[in-house]
Amino acid sequence: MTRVVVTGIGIVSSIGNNLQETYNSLINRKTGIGSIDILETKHKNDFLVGEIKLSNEELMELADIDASLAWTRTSLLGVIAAKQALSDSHILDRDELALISASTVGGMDQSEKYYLDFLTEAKHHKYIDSHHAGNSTEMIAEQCGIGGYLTTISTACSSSLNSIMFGARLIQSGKTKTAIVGGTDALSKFTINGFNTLMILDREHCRPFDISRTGLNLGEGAAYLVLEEMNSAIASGKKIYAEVTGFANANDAYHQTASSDSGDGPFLAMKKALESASLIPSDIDYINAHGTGTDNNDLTEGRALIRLFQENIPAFSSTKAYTGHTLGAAGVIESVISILALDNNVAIPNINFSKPIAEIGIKPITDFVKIENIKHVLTNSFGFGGNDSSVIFSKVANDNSSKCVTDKQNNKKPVYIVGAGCVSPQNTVDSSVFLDEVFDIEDKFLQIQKPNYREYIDPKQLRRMSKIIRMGIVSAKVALADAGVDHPDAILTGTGMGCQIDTEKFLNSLIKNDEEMLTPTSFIQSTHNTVGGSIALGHHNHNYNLTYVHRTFSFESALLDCLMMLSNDGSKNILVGGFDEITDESWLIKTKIGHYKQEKLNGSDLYVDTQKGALAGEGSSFFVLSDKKTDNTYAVLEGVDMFFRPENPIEVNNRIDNFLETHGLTTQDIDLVIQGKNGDMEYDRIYQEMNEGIFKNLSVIDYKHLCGEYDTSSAFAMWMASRIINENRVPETISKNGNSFGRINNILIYNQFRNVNHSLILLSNAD
Amino acid sequence: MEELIEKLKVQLIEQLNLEDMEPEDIDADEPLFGTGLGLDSIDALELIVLLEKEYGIKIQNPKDGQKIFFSLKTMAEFILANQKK
Repeated sequence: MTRVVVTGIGIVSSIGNNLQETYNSLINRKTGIGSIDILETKHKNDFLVGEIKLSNEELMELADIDASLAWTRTSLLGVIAAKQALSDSHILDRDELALISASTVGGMDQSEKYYLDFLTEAKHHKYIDSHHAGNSTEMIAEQCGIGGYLTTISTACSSSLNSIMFGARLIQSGKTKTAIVGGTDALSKFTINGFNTLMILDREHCRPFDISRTGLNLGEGAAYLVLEEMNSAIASGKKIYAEVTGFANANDAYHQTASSDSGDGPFLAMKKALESASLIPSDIDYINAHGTGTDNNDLTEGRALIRLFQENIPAFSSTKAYTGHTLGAAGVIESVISILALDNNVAIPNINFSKPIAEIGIKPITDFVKIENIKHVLTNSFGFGGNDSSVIFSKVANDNSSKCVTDKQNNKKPVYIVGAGCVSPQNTVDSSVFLDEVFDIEDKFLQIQKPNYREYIDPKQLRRMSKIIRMGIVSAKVALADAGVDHPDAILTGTGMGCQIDTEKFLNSLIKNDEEMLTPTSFIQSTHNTVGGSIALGHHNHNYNLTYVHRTFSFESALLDCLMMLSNDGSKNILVGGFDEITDESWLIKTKIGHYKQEKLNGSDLYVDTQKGALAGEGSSFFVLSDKKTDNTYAVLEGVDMFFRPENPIEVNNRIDNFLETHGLTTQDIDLVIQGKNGDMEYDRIYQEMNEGIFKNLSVIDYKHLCGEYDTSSAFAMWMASRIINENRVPETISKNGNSFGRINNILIYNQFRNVNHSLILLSNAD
Repeated sequence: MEELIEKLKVQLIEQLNLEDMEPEDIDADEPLFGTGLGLDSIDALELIVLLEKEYGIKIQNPKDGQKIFFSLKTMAEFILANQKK
């Protein structure tokens, strides 16, 4: 196995603007938690937070960036930390550098300020497009000149631990040599009010693992780690902070927000992380616990610690009483603290602790404990949707470094599509038909044909679920039933905008009710991993569960993860899907910046329409991918590729050529191209150039007149491609006049979003 | 009391989005959580807001909800004993 090490660290939080300041605060037991001074909120005097005492303007200076761009506080914090990490690791060649970031609420800090103005005030329009969770990632990539894989993970409070895991896996599978991984989240009214509805905010300083604890303090911050393949890091003579030796994600599958009584998810995450590192519990020298200070977390995490370590729980502490709970950044901030512990041979004390929780009686360490010969530290992050992760960092043992050999990657092991389910604006739930008839609706955007939800979901659960959760669950169930798989080894989801209905609902009531009388349901369900978590909950599935939230890379990132798992990690069956929902409000807001068409349109007129923008749509498509061919196999998923802001059409051409070559093909082998024209003439020109260039003489069809434009529409295209290959026919409703087809063996899906995010998916015949 | 219980039934259905339920489907003595109506801890938080919004009663500790929201009857009794509006 390729070994992965940390060679650069960047961090900014309420306890310091860089690594040294962070360490100084820790050794001086200095908390960053205090009053709310920067964030404008009605709750200024109600709660304590870990706030970075710099205004956005001051952060811009610190970040040394072009202040005229649409900066959210989340992006600013991210850029500051990422720049530090890159310079710490002296990464100069960034063309192939991957960036895996994480965030929970993305650009919410600006959206919540200007939300009502979006429809009326043109001057705030620049913040419409900085809202999505992948925005900070793209700002970092542009400011730092990062040219490799780019994606964003959002699994609530475990987000950035999962980005470390994904980055390490990219390196292990040979997809990249170097990755910068981490996450960023700024304080926002949205999260303060959201956690307040759950009644888990402490009005005093939080007291993790203490009997008197009554909740958490929120915080803000960002941190990034540079991860490298160990041999090249050693060869370059860089400082190596630690090796990433183990990691795991498990799902508690118990409740949307609370942990199970016995801490099943936390226990499994830690246990599997140990297994992946080939370590036993007694090898761990220090644990940086999730330890939020809530009644439920600390009790159940404590129980999980007892289950795994029994009487020999190593020195452990929560450092949330220093930084506050920084949500999407918590995992990586606490990884940095864990690495500091490892690097300095100490365990970091848990402040504000006096008396243990009666039910479990375990005591975190409260003083600096010198740990001679410290070798392995473990850190936990747990999030809504039962999303639980653990990562182990270890000192690099010099003696065996020379023995490490890079694996010969065998990425050609085929991955089969063995089940599919699709909810879309067309009749796609019924698998006995295949787009033989399509709906000809004239509307401002395309909405899904609602399935009979009750056939799939218990009415008791249904009452709370918004559209995206319903269509996600239905399409997932159809795919699983189609494949005859009950218990996939992983559930991987992609969504560009996540649960928009719930997000809008909470944001609107926050603004209209002036931060009073808010209810929790829409806040809880606004998290991006709600669908993935709900599927796990409904199927009692405790396995790996991740959600990618990077615009039109979201579904593709989930596919990439899937390919890595099935090719390298010994997984058998994986459920993977992409979904987005459209709302009147989000449609209207995006017409203001020309993303969507303002006037009603019939799908069949889409490609000749001259209005600015795309025809918006929505849908959810799920697949079961398997390492084995079954009787129900649709096609082979050969590969996926993503690239960000190509300089010109030649670069797009080259990317496509290289992608096909990697899979032993040329354009001549492609029997059908499915491309993502969306009726926005400005950007459809790019497809046109391809059609006159690299795709010349190939059969090319469109699909967005059927499903509309949305971030994960490529999942709909993949559903179409799977059916086309399986049935060896292109329905008349989608084949263009004059297209005739022989045996369709290879289909290339090419999609791009406003010439920013380009993606390729290649499917082939399994026979 | 009876009148308040009837009102609470309607408010409960609305606040918790109990789509298929009619007020007459809910028994005033039936447990709201677990076995009865099958509500959960998120619903309890919703009901805390309902009490504050509609009856001006603030509950600080969510654990108090377990007793108060045992049934519609206990909820009505609590409201009558604590209502300020």
